[in-house]
Amino acid sequence: MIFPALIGVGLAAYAALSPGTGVTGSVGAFLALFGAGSVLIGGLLAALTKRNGLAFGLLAALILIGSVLTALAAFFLMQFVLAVVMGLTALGMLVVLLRPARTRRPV
Amino acid sequence: MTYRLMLLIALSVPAGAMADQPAWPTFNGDLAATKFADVESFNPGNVADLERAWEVHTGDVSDGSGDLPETVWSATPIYANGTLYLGTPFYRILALDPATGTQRWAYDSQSRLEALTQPGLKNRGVAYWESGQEGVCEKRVFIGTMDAELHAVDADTGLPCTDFAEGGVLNVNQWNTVNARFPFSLLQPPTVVGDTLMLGWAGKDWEYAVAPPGNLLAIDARTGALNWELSMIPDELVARTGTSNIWTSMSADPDLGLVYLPVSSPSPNYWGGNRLDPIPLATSVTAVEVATGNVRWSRQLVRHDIWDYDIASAPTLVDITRDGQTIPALVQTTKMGFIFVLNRETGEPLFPIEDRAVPPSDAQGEVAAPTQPFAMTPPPTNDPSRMPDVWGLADLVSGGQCSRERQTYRYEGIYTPPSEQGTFMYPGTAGANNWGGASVDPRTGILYLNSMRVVQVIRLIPRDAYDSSDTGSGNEAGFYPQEGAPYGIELREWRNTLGLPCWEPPYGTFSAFDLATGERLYEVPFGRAQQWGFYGLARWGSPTLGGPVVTAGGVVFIGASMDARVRALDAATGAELWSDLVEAPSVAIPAVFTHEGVDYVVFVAGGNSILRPQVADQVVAYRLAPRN
Repeated sequence: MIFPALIGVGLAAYAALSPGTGVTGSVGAFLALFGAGSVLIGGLLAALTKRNGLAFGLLAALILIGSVLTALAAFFLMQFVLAVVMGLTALGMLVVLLRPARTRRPV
Repeated sequence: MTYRLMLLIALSVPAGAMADQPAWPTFNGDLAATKFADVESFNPGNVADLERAWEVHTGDVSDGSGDLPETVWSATPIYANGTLYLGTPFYRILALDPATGTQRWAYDSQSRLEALTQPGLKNRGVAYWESGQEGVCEKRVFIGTMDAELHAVDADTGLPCTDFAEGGVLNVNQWNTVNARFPFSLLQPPTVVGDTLMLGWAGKDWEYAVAPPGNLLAIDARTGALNWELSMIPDELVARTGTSNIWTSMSADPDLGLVYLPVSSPSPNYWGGNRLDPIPLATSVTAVEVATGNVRWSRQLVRHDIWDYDIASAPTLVDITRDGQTIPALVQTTKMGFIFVLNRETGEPLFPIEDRAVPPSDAQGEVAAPTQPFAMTPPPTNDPSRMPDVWGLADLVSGGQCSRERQTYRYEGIYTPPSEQGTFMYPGTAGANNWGGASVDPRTGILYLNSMRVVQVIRLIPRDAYDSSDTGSGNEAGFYPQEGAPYGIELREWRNTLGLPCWEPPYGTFSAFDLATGERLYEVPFGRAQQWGFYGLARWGSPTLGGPVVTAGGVVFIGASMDARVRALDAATGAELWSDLVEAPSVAIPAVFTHEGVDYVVFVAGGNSILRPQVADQVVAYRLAPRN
């Protein structure tokens, strides 16, 4: 999940800053960059957080919403690779949420 | 193609250019303004293989943030004399190698870069003339400037033609002798008919009630002498009004010896109490004898125009076959969305034009015309009796703002007069169809046309209130003083507070019409709207500005869309076949031509704030990728 979010940040930065993308410098492109960046930071924080805690649940929900909204924004920016990548990020978050938490066996 | 039309096209093209057909020697491709390129190689099967042959940045661009005003560049490239000629918004001429884009020469008019009559620095290109003889300045390129100079330079070298006027520069303002409140801005290149330059001008449309009366100047292409002048405003009215000028391109039929003028509205644009007397040539299409300047016929398309519905594009000349008979026709597309089809010899309509009653005005001193001409065949691009419905999404997100405003402002069909209460203008002042006009395939008589569906709100503001308000100084966006009239105006697009259009899409369409029957063959949404970077759905289309070119291979090339893409469409269906992203909306008509056996389509991407605030200085040439 962190890896696709990282790619998303790169793609969104390219869309927003590189000339000739059709959305260069636009509010929408920077919004997508902000969204992808937030998801990435959220993912990093989630990795450092206990999975069964409230904070993790909150972060997971925010990551999920952020990923979906960023994917939607990317779709309307016609940045389809970014849309797919953020979709994968959302999917990754869902997988993490649905997978049973690993527990450490007592020694 | 009929013999008559072939002859017309042949006469329209300077002799030197004929050696390397197909050329693009005028703004509209030919004097008939067909925008038809007799190029077979581009067809629906291969146009997806288009590739960039070259691109050039002229350097003549400003976004208005520095010392210079914003640039507005809509120049159609001219291909003639084996060279591609471009005018720039800094009033320079560039001569480029059509195969590589390499600059052969450049000429700088040294014009003042000041927005004297327009909100920005505007240019729609250059004109080309050749005498048919060999020698210096026997082939010339002309460029006009915002400050009313017409420059003539040698087409081979770019050096001034010193036998033209004063050292190659004609001061056109010498004929600006009545109500000279602004210079005759030469933004549109002259229309070259034989050895005569037909010259109109642009002014400050919305500033003054009393303004220079519109006129057509016929200039000798060799000497710069004035052959004749035709005034559009009756002498007895020039103290009260003005304009009715010709600011766009013209067409001509050298066979008939006629030039066809698209004439704009009188001043001020949105109130006509100062000009209640008839002004027959205002907002008309008018046929004038090239040799004498006498009016052969004229047809007024808006009576007592108080909507700024200028006739904005060169009429397209084409022969129509009806009951086995060939009829010399003229097709005038309009800001209103009506398509007038006339006999170009007589001005008589080839499809019925109905006189319909239209609403009265409640503005002080105003008397709106009781009836207006409605051309319902071919069907108008925009419904004249019904504006688009409120767009549910925009209404929802604005808490019903759009619905409330729909009930607030006046609307009783296309010719609802401007009012103090506020009036919906549909089509808006930029029109359904603007300077791009239509293209036609003369072999089939099928007309191709992009159109815009934008709703505006116009409000008349009583003089005292206007002058005492913060917006009274005159040039703020959306506010215009109409000095000398009892009203200033506010004009804006009908959007909610979030900036979303309040009216239902589509915002622009592309259509084809059979001129023999008047039938619409198809109408499809065209382009993509874009706001804050986000694209609208394909079915929403885009406001359009600029014109199409149709090729013999059945492909239409067009920029004109808000999303800064240039496109190739299937002429048979309007379906998009290919597109490419350029650096700003391409609001110029593209040029399609053959150079050294290779076919090219060249787009200028300059932008126009009517579509969105994005400017560029890019020229891009495309050709088919070589097949291995």
